[in-house]
Amino acid sequence: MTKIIILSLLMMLVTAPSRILPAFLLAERKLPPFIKSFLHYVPYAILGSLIFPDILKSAGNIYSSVAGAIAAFILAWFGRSTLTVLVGAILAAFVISHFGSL
Amino acid sequence: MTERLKLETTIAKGFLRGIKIGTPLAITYIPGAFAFGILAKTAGLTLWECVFMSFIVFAGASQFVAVNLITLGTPMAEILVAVGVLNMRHLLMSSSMSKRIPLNTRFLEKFWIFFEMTDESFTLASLQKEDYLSPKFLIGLNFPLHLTWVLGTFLGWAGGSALPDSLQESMGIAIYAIFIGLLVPSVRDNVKALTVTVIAMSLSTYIKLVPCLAERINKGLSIMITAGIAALFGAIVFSKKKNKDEVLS
Repeated sequence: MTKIIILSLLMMLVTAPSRILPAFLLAERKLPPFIKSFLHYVPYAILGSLIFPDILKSAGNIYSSVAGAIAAFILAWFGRSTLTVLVGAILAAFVISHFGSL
Repeated sequence: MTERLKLETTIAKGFLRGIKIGTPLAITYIPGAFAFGILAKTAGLTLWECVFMSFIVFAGASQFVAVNLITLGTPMAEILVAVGVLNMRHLLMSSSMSKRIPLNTRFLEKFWIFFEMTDESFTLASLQKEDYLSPKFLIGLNFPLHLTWVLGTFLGWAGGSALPDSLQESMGIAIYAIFIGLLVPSVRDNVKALTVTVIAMSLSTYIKLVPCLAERINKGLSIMITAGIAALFGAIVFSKKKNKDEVLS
């Protein structure tokens, strides 16, 4: 076993428990309404923290990133499929970064 | 959940349906996986070492941090602390997801579902409309993600990036496009969820903007703190009975 293989195994040992343990500790437990309500809001909160502010520099420069974000927002607002939102955002970012370099 | 008893409980089922829903998300893993393969090669990892790491660790940010620290000659213990702290945010996600799994889920299935959970698969799965998500559905959803991550690492190491630089750069927006595609439909008619999201966004921007915070708090910790506070706000302020039109329960 190389040092990297050992490191990988140890990394698994420090990352997997935070993913797995709550599932086994909480799943069958009846939680108080307050905790349930908290857990209900977690996905939205996580999404918020993941999106902002990192989206602003996600596509090279701020202009192409904002263009991609706006395209995604508009397509998502009108209920387009995930794939359409994805392709639309990449295209918008690509076009703006292309014009920016001219 | 008592106020929902009158409504029928819905459940997302099907391995293939999971794969179908996970696949667009898997596309967003391609640039990162390539980049990781390339970085790992530069850092002196062998092909199988980095593929092995991608398979058993399956945590993008942590792997980048680890390989980066290896190049800097950081001791293993320090790398593990950094990686552990970075991933503590999953405690929050796993706790939330645990309430969406049917009670009769078998041990190994449950183990595998949560072992494979990432920020992205968590958000995708938890914003599905159904009350519960079947183990097969979740395993199907995670499958293309894990596969793409491992395969992309392999290809990145072996061949370097096949994508032109300008396209690769524009693809950085991909994951955020998916996030927005998930978020917008589920908050447009749900002011409470929207409020929680905006609070989380503002707090994480605040941490980034204040230099003394930005230096000390890494991304993983920032997600845990800001999302934790925002969800707590939601639970405190909106603790009255939930409307039935809310997607999650």
